[in-house]
Amino acid sequence: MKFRIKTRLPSGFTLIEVVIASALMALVLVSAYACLSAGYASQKIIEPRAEVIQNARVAMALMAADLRGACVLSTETEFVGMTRTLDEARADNLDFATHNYSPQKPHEGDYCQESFYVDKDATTGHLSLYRRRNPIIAMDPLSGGSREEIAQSLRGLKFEYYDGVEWYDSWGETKTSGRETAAVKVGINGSKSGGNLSGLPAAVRITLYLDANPNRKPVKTDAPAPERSEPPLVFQTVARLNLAPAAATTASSGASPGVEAAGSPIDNKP
Amino acid sequence: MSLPQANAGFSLVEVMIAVLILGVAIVGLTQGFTTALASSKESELQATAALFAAGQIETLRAETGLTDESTDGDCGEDLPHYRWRQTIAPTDIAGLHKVSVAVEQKQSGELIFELKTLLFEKPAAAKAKSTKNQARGGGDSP
Repeated sequence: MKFRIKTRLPSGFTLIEVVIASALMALVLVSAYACLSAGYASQKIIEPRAEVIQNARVAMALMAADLRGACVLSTETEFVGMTRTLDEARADNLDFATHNYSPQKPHEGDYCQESFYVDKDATTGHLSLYRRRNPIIAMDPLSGGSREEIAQSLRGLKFEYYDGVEWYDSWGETKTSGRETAAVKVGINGSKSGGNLSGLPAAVRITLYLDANPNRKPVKTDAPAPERSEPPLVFQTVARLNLAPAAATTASSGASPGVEAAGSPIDNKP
Repeated sequence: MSLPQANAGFSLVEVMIAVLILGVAIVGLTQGFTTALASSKESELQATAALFAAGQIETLRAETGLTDESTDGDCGEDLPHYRWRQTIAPTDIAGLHKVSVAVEQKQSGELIFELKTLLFEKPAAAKAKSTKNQARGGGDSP
């Protein structure tokens, strides 16, 4: 009896018990770590996306507000929208003038010459959307003024122009394409040489492609494929040029009578 | 020799309660992450749909002639997961139209965003314009 009690009293864990307990503990810890890392990963996905969405809304609002107050730039170049590509991405640019400008210095009015264009950021190598504004009526309406970055990490920018009937990829260019000559046939255009679309479009559709994860670590140049795998965030809106009907009526007074006979739909707008 | 209390392990109830608590904690954690991801996606859908619906109404304002009808279509190749539905209805006042633009998910048909507004067009010219618009084949969005 004495021997038995002696062996019973120092009752610790057996080896098997300890092994099983530590295995279970390890299982619990691993699953807890998996949960936390999943949470961290999802936070890393969500935060930049939310920021990109917010930036896109701001950039869209800026562009739409300026386009709503658009007016003709000069007698030669009224409203120029060109189709360009930069690094295999659509990077259209646009030159116009807007009344959506608050004068900040003397000798400035509520008018500025403005451009939207895509350019490569020198430090990051990503594409950025820039807005150039020049409140002084310059000799060259397509340059000068100051530029500011309104969106980063672009994957593309597309402008489309609506003349009241059809949508066009470019506006006011001297180059002729099939679609533009079709516009001449409709009779929207005056008898300008080259048959380019003149005046202001009735509306402009902006499509913005943004990188969904701009803070991603730069991938080595030998493996560019996985970097491009994530689809871009696409935002699209339309801005109506509220001053276009007024500009069209003043312009058509000096234009050929054929314009009026064809009945430009811009003129018909109440 | 009957010492059942000395080497008694956990009872079934204790084990079940422990597993239950662990389960609730893990489900709660993963639920939190799923909700966060889903609401991020939802905010993306909302932002895209709101911009598109506003653009659709701007297009209507730029177009000539408002015809009282319901139309629908895809949001173009850039937004392949969305489609829009638009209704123009007359009101008591001549020339005033009630416009409603809804943007939905293409696969599920779930409504994401709806925008309603009133648009005015001169009633006298409205009729002539809408017929002209139809004759030209314009008026429908691309």
